[in-house]
Amino acid sequence: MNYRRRTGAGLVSGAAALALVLAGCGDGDGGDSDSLTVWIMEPGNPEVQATIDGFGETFEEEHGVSVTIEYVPWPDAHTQLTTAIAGGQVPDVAELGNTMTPEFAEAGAFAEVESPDGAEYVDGLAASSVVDGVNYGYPWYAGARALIYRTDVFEEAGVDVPQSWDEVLEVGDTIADEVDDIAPIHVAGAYQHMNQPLVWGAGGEIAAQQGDEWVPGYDSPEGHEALEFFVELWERDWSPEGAVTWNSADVREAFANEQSAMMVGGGWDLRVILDDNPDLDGNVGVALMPAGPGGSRDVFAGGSHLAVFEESENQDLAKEFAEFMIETEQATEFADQIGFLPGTVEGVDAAVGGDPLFGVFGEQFVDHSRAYPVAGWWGSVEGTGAIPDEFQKLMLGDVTVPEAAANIDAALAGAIG
Amino acid sequence: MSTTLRKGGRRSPAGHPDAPPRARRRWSAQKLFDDKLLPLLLVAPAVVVIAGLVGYPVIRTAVLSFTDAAGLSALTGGEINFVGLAQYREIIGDPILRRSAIVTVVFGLACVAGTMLVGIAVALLLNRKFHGRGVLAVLVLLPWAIPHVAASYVYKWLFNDQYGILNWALTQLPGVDFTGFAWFNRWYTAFIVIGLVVIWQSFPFVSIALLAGLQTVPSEVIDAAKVDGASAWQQLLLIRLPMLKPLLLVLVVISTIWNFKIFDQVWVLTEGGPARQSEILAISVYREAILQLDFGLGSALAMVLFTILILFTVVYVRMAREEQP
Repeated sequence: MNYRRRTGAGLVSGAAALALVLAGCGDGDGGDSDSLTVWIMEPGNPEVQATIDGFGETFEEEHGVSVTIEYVPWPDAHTQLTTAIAGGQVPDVAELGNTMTPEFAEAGAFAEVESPDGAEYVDGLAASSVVDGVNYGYPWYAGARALIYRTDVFEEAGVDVPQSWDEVLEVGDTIADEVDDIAPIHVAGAYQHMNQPLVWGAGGEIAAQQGDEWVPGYDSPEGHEALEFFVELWERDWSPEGAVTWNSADVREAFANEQSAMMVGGGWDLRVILDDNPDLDGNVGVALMPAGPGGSRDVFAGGSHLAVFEESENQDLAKEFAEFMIETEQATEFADQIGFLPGTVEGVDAAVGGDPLFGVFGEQFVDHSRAYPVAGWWGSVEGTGAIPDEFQKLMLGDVTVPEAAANIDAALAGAIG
Repeated sequence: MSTTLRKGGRRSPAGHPDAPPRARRRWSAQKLFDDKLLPLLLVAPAVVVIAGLVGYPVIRTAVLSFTDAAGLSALTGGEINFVGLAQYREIIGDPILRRSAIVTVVFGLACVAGTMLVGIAVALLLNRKFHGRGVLAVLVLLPWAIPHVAASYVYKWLFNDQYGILNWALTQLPGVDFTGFAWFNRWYTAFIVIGLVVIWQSFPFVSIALLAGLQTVPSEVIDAAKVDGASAWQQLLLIRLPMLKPLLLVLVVISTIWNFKIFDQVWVLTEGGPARQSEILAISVYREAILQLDFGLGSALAMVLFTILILFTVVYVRMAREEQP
């Protein structure tokens, strides 16, 4: 009796174990379709992180699935994505800087995605996820830098907002003469997103695609003109010596400390400036980037894509999640918190519509922004820092404009391969 | 019982005429095991672990350095070709990388020299009896306890061209104007700052180790030297330091390994810039292998650094051996 009961219990527990194993198997195949792993760049702000977590929870509830959001620090992002792809341990969805998308897409890491019905993307951001005519990313949020300036200083000097490079120099000279203790504008050797787009303003290209070939574009009349304008700004002695190693944060800090009357920056910069120095509230204006001699005001559309991994077992759900994230409601709330703009035109309008200050960033982004060369090799150019290096050497007087242009083109050609 | 016997045999003075030759022969197999095999067996687990942890990565890196492994395709598709010495030729041919290797040696040696000089000086100071010595000893140790990155950020602020306290302090001196002086604009001024951080953080270890060593120098020797009329300098150069030479050599080896491999300090202060002018090998390896995904070239650079360190260590160990009688 005793023996039998024991056997019975053993059978029951054995069956239960077997059932668990089977259920486990079921979880392995079908269960994956109920769970998503998402990598998001660490926003460095608990409130913003809570917002993203909240989106995840909303999606979980609406779809009856489980979403795990993991935060990756920006500086580690490239390495972490590389190792994940190499080791085959990829998430289902990942946020990545839009200049990284082509590199990983070319390596075959991402699934092809389509835009949701009726969504109109901002060209500059959307363009950087299209490799060989195939789209590999959802434009999530981005920003474009415009001219941030001091209205009070401009008033004191009696000048208007510059509309062209020549006017920047003229207005700058007047400010230097009329207003004490403030530099008209600072240049910065390591601020590549201010310096690189100058070539577009001059009417040139960083590199142009001709058929299947990429042709570097700095060693051209337009490229030289861009570099010469940069040198001209530097040689006016408006920027301190240390600006050779300055980056965007240093430029922003100097502006917030009332050391300069103009700067190139985005909405996120303006937020920090007003937070750091509330006295500036009401004395700051935003204008479109002054046009170069080529007539273009284009700046770099910098931001993030959401990409779905080719190896995700759950591509459909992953795409649904990405589409959910870029919907106007979510994208606007999130972008607003971090001072960026959503990747859709509707989102941009919702985010800044009518705001006289931040609205300009929206106009700059939608109408006057573009992508860096959309190709896998671009990542390696950013990795070497070859372009900012030449800007720094120009400032140090180590190279001439033609030498710098030739060096940049050589670096580009080397990366193109 | 046998152990007692052997031990007893050993304790008897060498060449003792009464020592029984039979007993010696009888235990020679045991002796062989004890003297030769047992140490090997005891060391074996550690050797296996070290071979796995150190040997394998080194060999793997060495092999990679002879290939063109680069990019994601090398990781995912295994598109790797053997290219012989091409990566090493590239290092020699590339002015930035060649310079990086030379700078690593020159700057590394300068840091070692600085670390040793400051370390010895502070150790000698702490070896004297004076009021507040304990407090000073604790203060000296503090820089060592601060993480490299944190210390580097502190120095970055001290030397900031606009808001740094150093430029302000120097400008207070009569006839000196350091307003807006940009320490990180040129490699030579940048390396002064980097060197300061490195030495500031690495001398405490040298000081404390040397202090312990100095206290082992018998006072009779020093007293005898004083009686013979040796000056303080002579006592230091002819007695104290020579007696501590083995310890000094070990400290030099450790400093060399640390100071040739610095990364955090350079990365925080200059990222190797401007325009890669303050780049050293550890930064080059990171740039090529991690940022650029050029694993072949990165491995070759790592092997160059490894070889340099091995060469210096071998030289030091030789010097240490010559010291021994």
